[in-house]
Amino acid sequence: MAMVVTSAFAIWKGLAVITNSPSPLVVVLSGSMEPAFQRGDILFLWNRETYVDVGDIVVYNAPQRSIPIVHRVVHQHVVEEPISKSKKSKTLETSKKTQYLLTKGDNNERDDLPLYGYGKNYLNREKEIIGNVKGYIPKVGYITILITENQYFKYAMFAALAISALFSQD
Amino acid sequence: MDTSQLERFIEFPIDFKGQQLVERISYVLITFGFIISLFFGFALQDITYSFYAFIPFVLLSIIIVLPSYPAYNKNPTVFLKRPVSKPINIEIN
Amino acid sequence: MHSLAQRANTLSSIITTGVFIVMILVSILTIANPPILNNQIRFKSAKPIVSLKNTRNYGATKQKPKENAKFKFDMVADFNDLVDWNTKQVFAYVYVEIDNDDSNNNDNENADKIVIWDKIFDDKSKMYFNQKNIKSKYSLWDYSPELHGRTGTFKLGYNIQPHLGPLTFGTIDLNQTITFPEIKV
Repeated sequence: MAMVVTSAFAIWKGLAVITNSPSPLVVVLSGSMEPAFQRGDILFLWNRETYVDVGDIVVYNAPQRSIPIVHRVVHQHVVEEPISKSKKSKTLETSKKTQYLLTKGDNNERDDLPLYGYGKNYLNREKEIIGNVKGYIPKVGYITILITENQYFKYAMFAALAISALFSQD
Repeated sequence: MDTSQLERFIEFPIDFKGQQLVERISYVLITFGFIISLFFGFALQDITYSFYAFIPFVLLSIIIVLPSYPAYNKNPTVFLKRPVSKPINIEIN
Repeated sequence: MHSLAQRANTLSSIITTGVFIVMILVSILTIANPPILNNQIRFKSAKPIVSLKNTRNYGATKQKPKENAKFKFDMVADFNDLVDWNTKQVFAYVYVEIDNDDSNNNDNENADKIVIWDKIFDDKSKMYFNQKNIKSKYSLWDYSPELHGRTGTFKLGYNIQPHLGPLTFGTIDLNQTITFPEIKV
């Protein structure tokens, strides 16, 4: 059992390093991307491109929200901005290109501006995007939704584990 | 109910030959099921049909493999009898 | 394999391994021959209407108003080529690439891209699209407040969503360039 847990953790962290995304696999929790993604679908993320394109589906951390959001990019701007002198950066470059994005859920009437919070009109590619959705497995992640949202299912699973531990002979 | 009966009730044990047979059956059945259902889905040009076509194979393998059928218990392991120690009579003249 | 629990365990691990192999196989098949849109798309847009907005819903504030543009266009497109046995839906979107003033070079990496219309095709028997006078679903505004005088190019993007495996993306040039007119008062 300990072997399973540790190897799963190692694979998870290894994937995070390869994909450059803090959570390379996510489970869809909302229906805002239906019919493309339903609740419980598993998404594979990749986070090594400098810029994402319009039409890509990205996962981002919205401010003041604990759960990452999966939505589609509808605006993209690459803006060249001067680096502020106060940071005392040692590089010779005086400006830096930043990508700004606006996102929208396929199933939502309008874009995500209300989700960003007042005064924030765009997402920052580097700071807020966790990954770009590259692959998809349907429904398999529903078990995590059951565990987190349905307490009876959680108790039933603990009971099943306890019973199997009692009767196993190895 | 003594302990061996309780064990039979919980474990559904099968003998060694039966275990070998069951393993072979489950590999063949599942592989066969995957191939058939993938072709089925491809023929109908929809991979969701492959998924539905695979469900009967899973049910079938559960029905065939899990219970302890008499066929899996034809070759019970015969344990050696414990040698009975008899008192040795020694004659002393 | 002696007890019921062990047999159930072995059976489920065989099935899981099989599912894993099938998923990898299907993904390789999808990556190996990605669907490409071969047929021509006919697209024609009328001159956009530019107006000045000063609410947040249009990317602006009272202090910093932004120019927004509305479109009307005709489009004929056939997405049947994109459908294969693993297709769940095709998400098609029309976007405008606006040339940046500061980057006159040909690489369009820096061009602003804004989606003005999209449609989900999730019925495999209805992949042909032919409509006139389509109104843009989303108002267009840029990062910088001004639009008039700049040029925009129409592009069509599509995202094929599979039942299982990798997502496929593609872009087609719609061969039309417009210049944003002055603000209509």
